[in-house]
Amino acid sequence: MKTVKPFAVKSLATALATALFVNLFGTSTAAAACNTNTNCRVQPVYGRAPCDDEVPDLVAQVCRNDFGTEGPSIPTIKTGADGATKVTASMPCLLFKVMTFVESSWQMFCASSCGSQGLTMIGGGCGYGYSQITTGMRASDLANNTSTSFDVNKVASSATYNLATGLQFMVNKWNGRKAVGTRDPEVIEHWYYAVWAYNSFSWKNNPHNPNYPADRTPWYCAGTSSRSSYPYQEAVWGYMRCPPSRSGKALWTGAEISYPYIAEICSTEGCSPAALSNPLPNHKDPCQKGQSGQVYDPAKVVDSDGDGTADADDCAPNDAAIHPGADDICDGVDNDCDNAIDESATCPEGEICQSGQCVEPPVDLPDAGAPENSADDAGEPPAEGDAGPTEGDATMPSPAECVWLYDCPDGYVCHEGRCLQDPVLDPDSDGETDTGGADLVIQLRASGCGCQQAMTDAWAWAIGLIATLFGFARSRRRG
Amino acid sequence: MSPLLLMASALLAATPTPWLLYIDLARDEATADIVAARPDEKKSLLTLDILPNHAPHARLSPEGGTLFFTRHTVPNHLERTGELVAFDLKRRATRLVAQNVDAEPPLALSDDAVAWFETIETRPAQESDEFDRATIALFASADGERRELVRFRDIYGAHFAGIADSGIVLYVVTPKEAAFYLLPLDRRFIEKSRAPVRESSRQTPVPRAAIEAEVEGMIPSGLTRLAAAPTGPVAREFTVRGDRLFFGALTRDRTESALYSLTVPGLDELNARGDSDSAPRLVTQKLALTGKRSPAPIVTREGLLYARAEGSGEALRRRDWASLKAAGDMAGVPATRQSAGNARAGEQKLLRTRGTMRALCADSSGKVIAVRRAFEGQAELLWIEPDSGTTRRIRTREINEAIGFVEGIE
Repeated sequence: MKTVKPFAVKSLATALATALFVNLFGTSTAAAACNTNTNCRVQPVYGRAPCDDEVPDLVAQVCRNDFGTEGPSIPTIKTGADGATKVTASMPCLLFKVMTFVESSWQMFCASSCGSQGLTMIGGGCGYGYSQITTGMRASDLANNTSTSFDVNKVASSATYNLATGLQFMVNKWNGRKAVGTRDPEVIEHWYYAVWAYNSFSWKNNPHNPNYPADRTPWYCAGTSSRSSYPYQEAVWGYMRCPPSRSGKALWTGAEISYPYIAEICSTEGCSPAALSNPLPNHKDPCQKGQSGQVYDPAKVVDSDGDGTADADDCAPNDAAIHPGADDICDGVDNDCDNAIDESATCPEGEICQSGQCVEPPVDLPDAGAPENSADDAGEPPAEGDAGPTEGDATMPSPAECVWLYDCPDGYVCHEGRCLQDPVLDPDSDGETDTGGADLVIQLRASGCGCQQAMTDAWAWAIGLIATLFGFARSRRRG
Repeated sequence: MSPLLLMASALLAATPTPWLLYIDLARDEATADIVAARPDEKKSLLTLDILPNHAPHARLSPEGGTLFFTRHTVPNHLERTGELVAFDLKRRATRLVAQNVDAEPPLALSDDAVAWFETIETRPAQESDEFDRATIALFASADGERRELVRFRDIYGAHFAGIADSGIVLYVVTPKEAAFYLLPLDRRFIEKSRAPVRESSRQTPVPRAAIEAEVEGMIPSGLTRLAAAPTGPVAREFTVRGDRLFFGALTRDRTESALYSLTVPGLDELNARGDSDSAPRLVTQKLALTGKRSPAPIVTREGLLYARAEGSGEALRRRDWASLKAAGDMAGVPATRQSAGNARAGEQKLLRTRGTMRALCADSSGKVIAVRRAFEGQAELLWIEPDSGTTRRIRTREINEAIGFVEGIE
């Protein structure tokens, strides 16, 4: 755990000033106008700012509840529609990854570049770090000595602890809300109420709130409206489907998570949060079980041996003892599907694993000695453009193509990457006779008219009228 | 009449083309522009710092001289750190009206008067079957003076539905119901704002105790309950003209949407009705079923524009005021599915699309309407002149929100 370094006052002031001028939500991981809130319970402390490509591993470790003493205690989590069963808590990695992005733009410390030192990011309302923990973190909580279920200092200083505290909050939100579907913590869709409650379980985030347009398309996807046109949980759902990019790289692989049937949320009179039916299709995240792979629809997955790994990802689809994440044992078999045999198998003390068996080492075996510890790389930022996720790499289209309606001239729409003549705004030609008035014919301007000289409508109208009148007069004379 | 006379009268009748005001921003950028545009020209009137992706909520004053907007620049999960700003369109000058306002669109009462909400405190849900509740105050500012008009306790939320002849119409959601309320508005409050500032002209703030209500989930005195929302807290897209409120809502079985209206009584009528149980109840009226599409009604000089699902797409329809008045006279008589869903007298189809469509605003002359159309995940802002039958696209950035039409900002 990092602690406050005894920097000189001048250095501290310089660091704060630097932090103030860096944009919190910019495209750089270094961004940080980050920390302007010092009237909170815990003063910001210095720590190494993880880079974007480190965040998924940190989040995965926390989501699997695999952080040992590096986090607060996590309660068990309710399962089943009635919530009667409780199991060890974990949550889907994609969901928590996106939530922490929405909360903090993946900022734990306000550093000038990732990998370097910076002060704890403290957002509005005294929200600390990745998970933007606010409960118990205000100055008034210090005055009142408010007790918390976590260590407030570690929330400010440790990335893992901060994330784990976020998991603790999420589990409490899950346990305190009505069920979605069968209340299966592995199903991303079933976290809808908990995600809503993480921000505030209020009317502000109710999808029926009239501030949110009824025809809103998923947040951050094509045709999106302003973020303020979406409740919090829909911002998370939108980002899960359409990931943001930094330095041309998508931060995660998108997945089209299902929305609940929101008409179930309020009755025809008042509004109480009711249990919601299962939003289909469901999606699970293999990361939650320590496996790699993309978010999938469990209904479409065949798992012949029932070991929790789909046949497609299982090197032994009919052997439940062999699957990714299984313990490697000394038996000459690739138990954990990593294309290596017995590489991490353990044997009784004094024996080694050789040819699938634990045996005593040969007498003349040289002493391998203890492996050297890797150098502490804290404070060493990775080289720019260092390795990171490569999937979903966004590429810019060539000028001849389009990704957006506005890339095309008037009268055209962008369809599958190419500008095609607009098939939509046809004149009203459905043959229906509207009582009380004729249908109006709406015409698109001819394409390519952008090169026309601008002309005021009044003059254009007048010139048209003159031409019509002269034509009318001439035709009458001819008649 | 000779052609020359016709031409002259036509030139005289020609009105200047209005400007469409809209907010324009690109994803992940920390500024937004307030833009004035016509089909062939546009100009940025103001560039604002914002929280990235968070467009300000803006409303234009009825006179068209001031734009009021709320914006947020500081991340805060409760979004109570917004500021309310008045932007004088002619002078291009901004003035801070209030801070710590809610992330709600303000209600522009006049060029110099505006109303807004502030969440005073929240009470987290105690049980799994309830939402957080809030104490919310409604403030107004006129002539630089700030007044608390009303305060709600233990409600879910409150929204402005619009300004009727007799006052401000509010949509309030409590744990028990969603309903429309009328806050009688002293017109002098608005009109005084137009007079020169004089200390003696300032009104005495209403004592807070007089306007607070301590009853849980109830509405303070001074408000008149008009009617419950027809199908629970699923109403939206409010628009008011004169004494008529129009809005969209899901139908009772939640399978489709419908266009509803409510006639807001005058103050005299409300006073005469009193609280007597024998007084006839006000009821909302279903005007049209709109299928899977929320109607998004807006009022124009000619009538009411709304969208309706039609075939594989949608149609934008206009219903004239005469037929609406006739329908209003039938308030209380349930509309049958047939009469509500089919074409009727005084109704006209303006446009049809395979995508979705929403009328956003119309200019005062009724000559131009702004429409947002979305098709295959792409959205565009359209400038439509129904009388000349033309549709043109306003080129915008990815995120845009139309505000209204103005004139005289050259």
